[in-house]
Amino acid sequence: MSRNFFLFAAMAGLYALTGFLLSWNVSLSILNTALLATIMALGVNMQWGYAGLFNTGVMGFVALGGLAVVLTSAEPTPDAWAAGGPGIVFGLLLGAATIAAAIFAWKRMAAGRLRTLVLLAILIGGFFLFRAVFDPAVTAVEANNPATYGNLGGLGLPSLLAWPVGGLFAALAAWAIGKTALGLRSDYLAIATLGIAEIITSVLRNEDWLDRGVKNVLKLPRPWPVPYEVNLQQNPAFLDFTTRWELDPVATSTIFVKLCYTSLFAAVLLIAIWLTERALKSPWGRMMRAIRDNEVAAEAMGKDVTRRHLQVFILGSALIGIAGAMMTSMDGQLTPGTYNPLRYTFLIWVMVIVGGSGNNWGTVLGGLLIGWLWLIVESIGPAIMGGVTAAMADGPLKQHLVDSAPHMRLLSMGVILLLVLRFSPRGLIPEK
Amino acid sequence: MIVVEDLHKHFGGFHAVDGASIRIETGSITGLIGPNGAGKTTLFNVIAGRLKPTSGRVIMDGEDITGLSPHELFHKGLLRTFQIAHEFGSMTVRENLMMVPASQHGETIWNAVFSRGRIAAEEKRLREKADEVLDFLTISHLADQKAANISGGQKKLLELGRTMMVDAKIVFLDEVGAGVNRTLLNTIGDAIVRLNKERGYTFCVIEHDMDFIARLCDPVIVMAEGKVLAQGPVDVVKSDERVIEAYLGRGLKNKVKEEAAHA
Repeated sequence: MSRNFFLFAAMAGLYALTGFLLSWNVSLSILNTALLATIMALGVNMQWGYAGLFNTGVMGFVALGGLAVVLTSAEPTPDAWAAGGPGIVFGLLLGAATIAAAIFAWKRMAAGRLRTLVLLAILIGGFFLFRAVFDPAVTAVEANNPATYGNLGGLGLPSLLAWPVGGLFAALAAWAIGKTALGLRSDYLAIATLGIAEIITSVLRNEDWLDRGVKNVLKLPRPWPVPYEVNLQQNPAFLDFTTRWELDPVATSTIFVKLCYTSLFAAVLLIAIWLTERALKSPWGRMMRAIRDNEVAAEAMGKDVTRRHLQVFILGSALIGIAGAMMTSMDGQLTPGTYNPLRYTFLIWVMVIVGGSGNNWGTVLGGLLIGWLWLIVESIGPAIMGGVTAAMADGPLKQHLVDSAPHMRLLSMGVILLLVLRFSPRGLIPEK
Repeated sequence: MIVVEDLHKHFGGFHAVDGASIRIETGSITGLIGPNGAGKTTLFNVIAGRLKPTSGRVIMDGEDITGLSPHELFHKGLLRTFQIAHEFGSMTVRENLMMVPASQHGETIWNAVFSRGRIAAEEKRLREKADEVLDFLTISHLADQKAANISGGQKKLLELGRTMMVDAKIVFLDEVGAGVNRTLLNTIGDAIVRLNKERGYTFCVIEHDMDFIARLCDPVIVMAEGKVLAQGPVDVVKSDERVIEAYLGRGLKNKVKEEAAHA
């Protein structure tokens, strides 16, 4: 207990130190990013720590959360809808109907050459029909003012509402993945999720009608109640406050906005911890741990392992999706090109493993600690390298060292992971 | 009553179970013996739903249960233990038992989070039940140990204990005595007999220890090379020529006979 308290205090100390030595702006922006990553890590911990499911597609669920923000709260583009909205919807319905018809034929017809031919006819015919309806609609939508829009736009609803929608998107994807991949052995689940996450981000990068692809969706609204700095700087009450305390209004407004995000994210994190802890310390959690410890025995003791795996996979993914949506609504933009597995899958896994898989508090500690390290090394790494190489003569070696300093975060992550696995293999706060 | 009709289980060209038909009467402790590789465990795995049979049927109390999954069979009262103990290692011995009963109120995620009062009452009952079982098995002192840390024999007891958390109809014990010392084996034997007498459990037991089988089981089924060789009281089966041959091979069989003639 005292050890855990010390670990959390040390972690808080790191953020405070960053605030005093660098700036509170940096400290808070690291904290916000780390809080989001921690929520994702809680989702991974549910899947891996509770139930032993190896999900390497965290990035995909984060990206789906981001997409939810665009579709829910981006401003509507009526022109695009008029140009091709119905066509796209109809096209997608046709595609879904094709798949449904193929499944129906597969199930209803007796195996044989006839079934193969009918299936091929449905799939090939359906594909061309789908493209015939879908393609012109997409072209029309993407031709609509491509410099600003070129996509269908969103519903213009509040950004806060996009968070649960992000969870829903991720949950639906998890359901589809789980239905197909959870019957596989654990290592195949890892391969399947890895691939599917790449598919999801690649769709987001390429389907301009959906989210403008690599042209990014900008100017997504902020979640209630976070204000804009500009408005804050003209707000008389705020200006009164800064003059009374002799603060710089511009700097204070950015910190105030960040603090708003911090409180929002911390609130979501606390709710998530409360829910996941209660679930873990219950007969449900006991059943999940039993399934993780020994699937065969759990099945023999009457637990429907496949169904429970699907359930926890969906719940964990939904949590990741919510955090993904929160991230995009904080950024105010969706940038599909920036989703990479190193940052959104590997790093989250490091948090869970370093913190202690199976233990929610460990995961929280790991999330905040690794999140801090990941971002701080980026800024202080080159500075340290500059200091180390200051006395060296100019030349290719010095150049090489200075140039490679920005990659130091990868090295430091690897070293931390190795050290923790060597000296505390079950994580900093292990499962009891 | 379990009736197995002409059951085949093939792995490629290998016929692990090759047309076995057996009958386990309600209320009996039926032994299943045979040399290594006779197909006993495969037969267990098919009956208990772990493996799908190549052909044949398994009927429980008149109902065809062939190919049902293990968790469905559990709900019908068919339970099993494993040849190599399958404990839930990171959980305490008591938790290992408490997880067993089906349809616990707190097993639904919604109730787990929002219906704590009812869960607390239910957990209290489960805990008392688990402690009763531990007491019955004389391992109360292990209740709070991690199941991974107890001895192999104690794990076997724990597996037997799991079947006692519900009202099982029939329990399949796969080499419950393997790697267990005499004293503990006697404890296990006593527990089996008591469960059979007091709670009406039907047992089917795979075991290599012939004393154990002779003490507990009637009738005994002998398997070899995927087939049922003989079925009957242990003394009758023991002197069956095919059984001796299966265990000892043809050459030795004659030698045993000669020795018996001399004696």
